[in-house]
Amino acid sequence: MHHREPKTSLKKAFDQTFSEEIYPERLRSEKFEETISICKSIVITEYNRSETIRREERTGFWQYLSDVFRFEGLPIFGLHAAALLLVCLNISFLAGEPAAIPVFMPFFALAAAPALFRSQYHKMSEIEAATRASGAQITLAKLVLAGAANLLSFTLLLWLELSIHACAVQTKQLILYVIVPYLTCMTLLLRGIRLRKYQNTFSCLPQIFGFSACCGVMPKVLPELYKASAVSVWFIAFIAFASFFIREIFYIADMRKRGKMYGIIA
Amino acid sequence: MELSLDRLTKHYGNKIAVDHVSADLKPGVYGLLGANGAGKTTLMRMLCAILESTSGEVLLDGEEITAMGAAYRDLLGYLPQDFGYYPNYTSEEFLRYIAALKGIPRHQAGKKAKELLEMMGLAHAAKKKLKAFSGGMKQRVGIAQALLNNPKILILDEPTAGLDPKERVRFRNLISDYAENRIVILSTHIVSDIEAITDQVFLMKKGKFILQGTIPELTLHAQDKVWELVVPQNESRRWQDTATVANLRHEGPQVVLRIISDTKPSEAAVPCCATLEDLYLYYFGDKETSSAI
Repeated sequence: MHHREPKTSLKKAFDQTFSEEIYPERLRSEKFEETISICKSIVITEYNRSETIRREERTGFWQYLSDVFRFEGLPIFGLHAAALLLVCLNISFLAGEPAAIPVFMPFFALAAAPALFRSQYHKMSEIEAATRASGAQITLAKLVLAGAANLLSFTLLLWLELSIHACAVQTKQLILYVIVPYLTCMTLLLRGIRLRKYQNTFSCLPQIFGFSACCGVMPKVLPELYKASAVSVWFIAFIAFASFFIREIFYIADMRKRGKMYGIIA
Repeated sequence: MELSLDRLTKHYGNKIAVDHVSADLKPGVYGLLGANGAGKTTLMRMLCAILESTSGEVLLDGEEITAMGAAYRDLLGYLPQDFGYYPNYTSEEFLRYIAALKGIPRHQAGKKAKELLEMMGLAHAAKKKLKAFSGGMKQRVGIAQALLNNPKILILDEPTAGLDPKERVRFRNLISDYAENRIVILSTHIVSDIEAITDQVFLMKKGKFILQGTIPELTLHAQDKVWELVVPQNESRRWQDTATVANLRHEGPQVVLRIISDTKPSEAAVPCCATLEDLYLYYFGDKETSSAI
């Protein structure tokens, strides 16, 4: 077996780098020993650092997501199912009135709130923020689960509205009536969390319900907004609120990537 | 492994919670001693990277801990002072949940949770819901969650609060064993816990480390300031009102007072050996030590 001799290699490199003019012969031995000592200290420091942060086996995001689903899945999906039932019951009394749908969208946004604020409510934020996941990854995982629950809920809601009630408006119109208010509510909710102040977190609730009330009033005040000709207005609103929402999600994803905390900790 | 605090400062508005604190921590047990509001919890939160400092930094082997992100938190175990729990989880479920947040694979998490519950004397309560736990049991679950990821840096804020004497002894032994090649930082008001397990103590006042060193080094600061004085019972109250009395013991018709004072409080007073508790009382005075034991 061939053994490399580090000292010989280092000596060769040293001789190649430092000519006789730089270090005369009388200084060479002293400088060479100094070089060895510096190299040793660099290697030891790096070894210690790698030993310190040597990683034990850890799960990735998807495994983590499945763990979060195990613990949080039932409450998240259960609340969304309850919100869907509530909205469907209300809408069943308002057959042929798709303009009423936006009024109920805050319920879907708020169905995610107990999961998002659970750790704060139970004083678990500090413990959770000091884990590998940090606040950002926990929030992101819960949002992914809430997003999946919403996708199911909205599909069922739209199917109900289109098939059972034989809704008169176009499908794309109906989708916009659902998505635009939902994105608005979620953006308000996430912004409240991001600002990391309790008062901001709770101030988003009146904002969300205020928005819901506006949605309720709007069909009476601006009935034109719910006509087929107004689809472009809704589409512009969709682009605007989707941008805000995506920006919030990107912010959380960035915090997660950098392993930073997110939301209210202490 | 070295954790360095470099002029770490935290302001809350105009209030300075931590003021230019510097220290180099190598593996060992470190005790943080200070009155309520001294800045211990703020400092610990910054060491856990869950609270951003106003200025200064914390470095692990020369690397800024906030820049290390998840790699740092992988090495960290933290027990906050005032922590909650999910009441409907059993202790085993709770540990599995925290294990998931710590990124520990499921097959390891279950085993580790069982081991820790055993170690904490909670194996019998593994399937019991946390809402049915006593304060001491919850505290032990809190300690267990901090140890789940086999942390190299363990930060414990008031870990012995709510533990009975037997549990405290068990905890102290556990930490002493655990501290080999690890950095353990604990804050407590219970001076005897600090005396029993710490290698080095930081005395914190108004956001600053006013003293740091080993216990024998620190107690030297209170040497010649601790006196024992025997007085009749009717004079005991007067001494308590006018001097810092560290201890009071009835001996028949007389009372033996342990007094902390720069000068000899009475001709009859005799000097005695200082303890960490005496030092604490010497630096924090009566008002600030109301919560100390």
